[in-house]
Amino acid sequence: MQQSETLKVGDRIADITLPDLDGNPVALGSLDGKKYILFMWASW
Amino acid sequence: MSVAVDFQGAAKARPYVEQAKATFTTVVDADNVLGELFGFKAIPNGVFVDEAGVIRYTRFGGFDIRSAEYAELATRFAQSPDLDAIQQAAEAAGGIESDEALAEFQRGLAAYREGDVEKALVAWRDAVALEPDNWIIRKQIWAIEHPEKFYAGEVDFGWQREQIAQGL
Repeated sequence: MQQSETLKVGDRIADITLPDLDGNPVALGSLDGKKYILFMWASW
Repeated sequence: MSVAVDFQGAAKARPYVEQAKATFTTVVDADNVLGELFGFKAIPNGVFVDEAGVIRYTRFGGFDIRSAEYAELATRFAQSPDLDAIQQAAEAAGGIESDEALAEFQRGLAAYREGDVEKALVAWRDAVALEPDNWIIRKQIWAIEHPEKFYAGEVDFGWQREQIAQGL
């Protein structure tokens, strides 16, 4: 079974909040007004 | 901004951020929220977001910020958000696609958070069996089972290729 549609080019980035390294919440939506590149990586 | 996709959380990510002397914010996505949202199954990934919060370009897998190609893309993006001319290099394939695999992934995450690593690994292996092309789960299992291949200096990619060759 497929899940709901994923985000694509042209969509607005969902207003999600993730914790920084110290646990403080960072809302991705709060970067509105500034261009940014979200770089996803891992220690593995 | 960078996102550490790591089920093991901030503690595993912090040394890399400190070593890189990163000047940007790093957040931790321990629940694979973005993986589900964007539907990626591997990293490193780049998502370019413009001033209005609109996604202008995505690259899932093989997004190397040390590459010349990345420098070119970032420069063009800084000058203009119009990246339409750049072909999408890879298509997002739907994250954890099946409800069964997603349930196993979440069962494993719950067990891991409770400190039951063995139970977590069993559940995550079941998830990988259901969805063999999901590298987020597969490589996370390796990193937990074989920390010496990941956290003792350089990541041992030769070892990873051997695991793949052996079908592990």
